[in-house]
Amino acid sequence: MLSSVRPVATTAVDDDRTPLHHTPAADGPAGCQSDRSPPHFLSDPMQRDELLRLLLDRRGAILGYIGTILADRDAAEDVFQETLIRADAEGVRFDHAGHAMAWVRGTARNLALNEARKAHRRSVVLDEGVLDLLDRTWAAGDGTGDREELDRLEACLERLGPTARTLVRLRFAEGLDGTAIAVRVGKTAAAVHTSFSRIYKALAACMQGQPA
Amino acid sequence: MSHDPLPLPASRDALAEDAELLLSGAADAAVAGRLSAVLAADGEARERFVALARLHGHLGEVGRRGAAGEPGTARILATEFPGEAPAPALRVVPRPRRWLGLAAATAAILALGLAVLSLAIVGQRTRELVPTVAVTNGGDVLRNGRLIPLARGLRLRAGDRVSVPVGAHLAIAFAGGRCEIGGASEAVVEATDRVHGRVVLASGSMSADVAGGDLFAVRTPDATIRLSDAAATIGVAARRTQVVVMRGAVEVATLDGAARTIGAGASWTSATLTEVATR
Repeated sequence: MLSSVRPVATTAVDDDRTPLHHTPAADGPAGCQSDRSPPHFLSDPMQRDELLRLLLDRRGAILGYIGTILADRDAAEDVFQETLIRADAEGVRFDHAGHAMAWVRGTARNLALNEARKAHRRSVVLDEGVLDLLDRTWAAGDGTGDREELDRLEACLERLGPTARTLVRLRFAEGLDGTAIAVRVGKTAAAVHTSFSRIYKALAACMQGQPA
Repeated sequence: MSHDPLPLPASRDALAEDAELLLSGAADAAVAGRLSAVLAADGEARERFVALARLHGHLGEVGRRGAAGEPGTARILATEFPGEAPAPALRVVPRPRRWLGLAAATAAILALGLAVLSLAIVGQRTRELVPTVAVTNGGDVLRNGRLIPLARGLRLRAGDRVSVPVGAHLAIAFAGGRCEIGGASEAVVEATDRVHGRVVLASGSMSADVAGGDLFAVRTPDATIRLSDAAATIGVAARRTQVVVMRGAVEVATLDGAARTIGAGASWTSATLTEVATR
């Protein structure tokens, strides 16, 4: 169990809401090229496996987090995979899921910011101070695995009309951007983006059991 | 199950619109700046933004499942937009296909089984956290409409369609095990939630060797094969599935919901359509 692992932090990681970039592995410059030695190592491979399962169980949420910095899905997937590999390679100890997710966000954030810089997209990323504030909100959802949310989301998607579902398919299954979707459905790109904002609102309200 | 339709809100919402632009990569510096200002000042806006971003991430997972053909998800997304233009054709060069009969598939999966056994004997299983190409001598990956040649070290991701031509083979290392895909095979990497690896074998043959408590599942047109601490070969020809278990035991679930456990040394072949119809 993750909860049975002794806390080992060399810097303060006191609760789930601790800003993730305060975790040791994320203290280095962007890209996580920290010159500090890795904090601590798991000696029990089962505990390591449990960490990896935790991250895979929250893959959608983690990709959602990365997506706030790096909209390109391929690049976001690369960041997720790299984060997973670092979690295993560094074997950082966590005393509960909140610590693990904070570490993941810190590592993913640095990697994503580095990618955004390389892609000359840094100017379209939210301010770092805002990302700090958002991290606290993200931490509040760390106890929820993807499965529960995906089940609710699919139930809500079924209730969407065919036009909205087609837009979801084109964006998320076929990987088209707003401009390409606009060509496919004969709308302007602006209209497509407005439609998506309404779809998100309706789905978010549905998942919370509220009217849109 | 019937549901009330979900209406879209009629009013516009500046935060949701800016969030959509940011999350879809269509934001410019002005949008990012405007969003930063709102989020810095308003805790409720931060909660709404994070909820939208989580939703965006989960929609990505739903889309990947739909693209991989997961039945329930694909059905939800199987919609048509009135007047929707057809998708532009992918510029994929078709390769000559050689349709294997079940006998040929059996021979192929037995050969793959031997390969897996020898891998286990010499202890060459690697432990990759993401599915990674370990050995290849030809073939390619179709990813987002682009063909990428298979190469050692290439990390595969959910939604990738792998094609291994006749005469070639491919070994993929993943968390807890390794799988081999034989020549004349087509496979799709599915989303890796809950289990470390899941592959759709559309045609051809493959083998998998999974250690310890790790899980690996192979979905074929008429069955789902789940392995944990087991090794098996799986072949698909003419929409029939054949499973040969080399080590441990695997669970085979058919489309009618029936599940059975196949032990080491045993094999299982799915019923033909005629056999199913006469039951």
